Amino acid sequence: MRFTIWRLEWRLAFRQRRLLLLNMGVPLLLVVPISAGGAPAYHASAAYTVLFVLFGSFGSAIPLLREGDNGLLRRIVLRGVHEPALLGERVLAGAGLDCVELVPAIAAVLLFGGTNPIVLITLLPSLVAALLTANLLGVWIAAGARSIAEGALFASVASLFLLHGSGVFRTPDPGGWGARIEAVLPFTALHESLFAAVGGSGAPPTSGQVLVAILSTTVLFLATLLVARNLAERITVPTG
Amino acid sequence: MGFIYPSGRKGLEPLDLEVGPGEIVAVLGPNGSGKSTLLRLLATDLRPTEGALSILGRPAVGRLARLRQKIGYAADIAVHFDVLTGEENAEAFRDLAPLGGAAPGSMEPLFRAFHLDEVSLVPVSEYSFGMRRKLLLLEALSLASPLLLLDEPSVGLDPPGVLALRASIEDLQQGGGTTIIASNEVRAIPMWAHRVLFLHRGRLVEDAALAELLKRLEGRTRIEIDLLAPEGGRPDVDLSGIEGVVQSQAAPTGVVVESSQRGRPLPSLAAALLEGGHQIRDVRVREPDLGDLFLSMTGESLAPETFRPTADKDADV
Repeated sequence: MRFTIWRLEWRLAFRQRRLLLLNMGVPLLLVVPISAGGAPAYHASAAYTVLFVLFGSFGSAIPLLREGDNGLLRRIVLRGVHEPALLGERVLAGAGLDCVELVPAIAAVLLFGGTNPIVLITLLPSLVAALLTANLLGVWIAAGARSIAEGALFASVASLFLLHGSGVFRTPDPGGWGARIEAVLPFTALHESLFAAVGGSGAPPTSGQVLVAILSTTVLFLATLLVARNLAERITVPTG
Repeated sequence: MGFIYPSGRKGLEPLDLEVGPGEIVAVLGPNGSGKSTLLRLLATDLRPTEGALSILGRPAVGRLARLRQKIGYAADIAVHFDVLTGEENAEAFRDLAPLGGAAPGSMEPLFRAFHLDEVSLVPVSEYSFGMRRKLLLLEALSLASPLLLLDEPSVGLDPPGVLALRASIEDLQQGGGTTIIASNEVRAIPMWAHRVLFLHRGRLVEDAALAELLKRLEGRTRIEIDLLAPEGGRPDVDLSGIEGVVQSQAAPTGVVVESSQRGRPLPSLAAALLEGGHQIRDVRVREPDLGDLFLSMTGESLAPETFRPTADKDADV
């Protein structure tokens, strides 16, 4: 494994310093008023979860659509890069960069929430799993969308739908189908970790819940690699 | 193989083509003739909708990544990582595929040859159109691939760039590499080729050795007569009966006559045109090239001129 795409993504991200600073500053600007304003834990954790997930899915889908449209991705594929490597490494690099860019916002959440550091044990892996899932979602969205506007629409709808399924906007429904879906969706652990981090009542997610999030992310990652050739073909081949 | 676009438009009529190692092939045709479609098929960017394609000894089906690593392809659009420098771009595209033939650090001579050495450390976002085109060619050449596909390489290329391109292609050919160049430029690039293909409206109309095609042009002279066309439209005067005229065709700016007696039919041609009520704006007599041969075979110019002279008293003859 040479990880050329992974290395290239990090290099490109750090070369665009203004964009990097914006990606660090904007989430911070959105988080601080909620954290400093004393928003109730349930609302604050929901807002953060939505923000972090949309950050991941938009950040993955939009550049893929743009580079698919201008021919750059097609050029990379025609250079002989294996499609699973292209998409897999992009997702890993994208999630890694999202983590770095969200450091100031996460720090603000923890600082204003007066969080017990023990929460980090579940928050960090939950965040990584959620961002990986959001980036994978971006790949599927880019494969299905025909324009950047369509991509933005699909990313919003798909992310919000999955966030709803993860119990972010509703009272948990024990025992029903909703609860079963909620248990396996990777955003649930992030939401619950953030809920605990901002001082919400109840215990942070158990290691079992975090493991489920990691497992479902891994399944989605492997499924994406399995059909990477078809996805890459849809993303990189201009219509016509 | 043949190719039909999803819209139903014929991209390439079925053709049977075999190109061997070490060959340099020029594919000539006007815009929309199928040159880029042919190159995209050979680059595995498109898949044939009819027939089959085999590249470097293996069928171009299924997983294509390894095969693509052996193809150097400069498409008609020069797209790069704009935030990276020219050198970083060249290295990035070289390093993307593990089977690239070029050794690290071997880019400098190419940057010098294409006169890009002074801007090699400048971000590509600051490059001009011509610089981007040169960088694209340089990137394709740097791979030392056994198959090199160049789509319209002369676009945006200055004379030193053309020379550098020729030298690189010849180097590649000496190593057994095959080069296929699509172009509608007829004076320089096809003259490096061993073999020339004419494509017209998606159909292969000629596949011959360059020497054979040049032989067909021997003894022919081309007379181009530009006419004033105050009312628009093509002149409808028949010049084919004049002695020495082999062929006469209307052109966007007037008429083009192929003569077997050099410039000798010129007075008769001028007389016939003036008698027909036309005003002559300009006359050029020159040796024919592959573009003329293409015109005589298809009735269509390789690079149609869009300029049409308007009535201008100062230009009257």
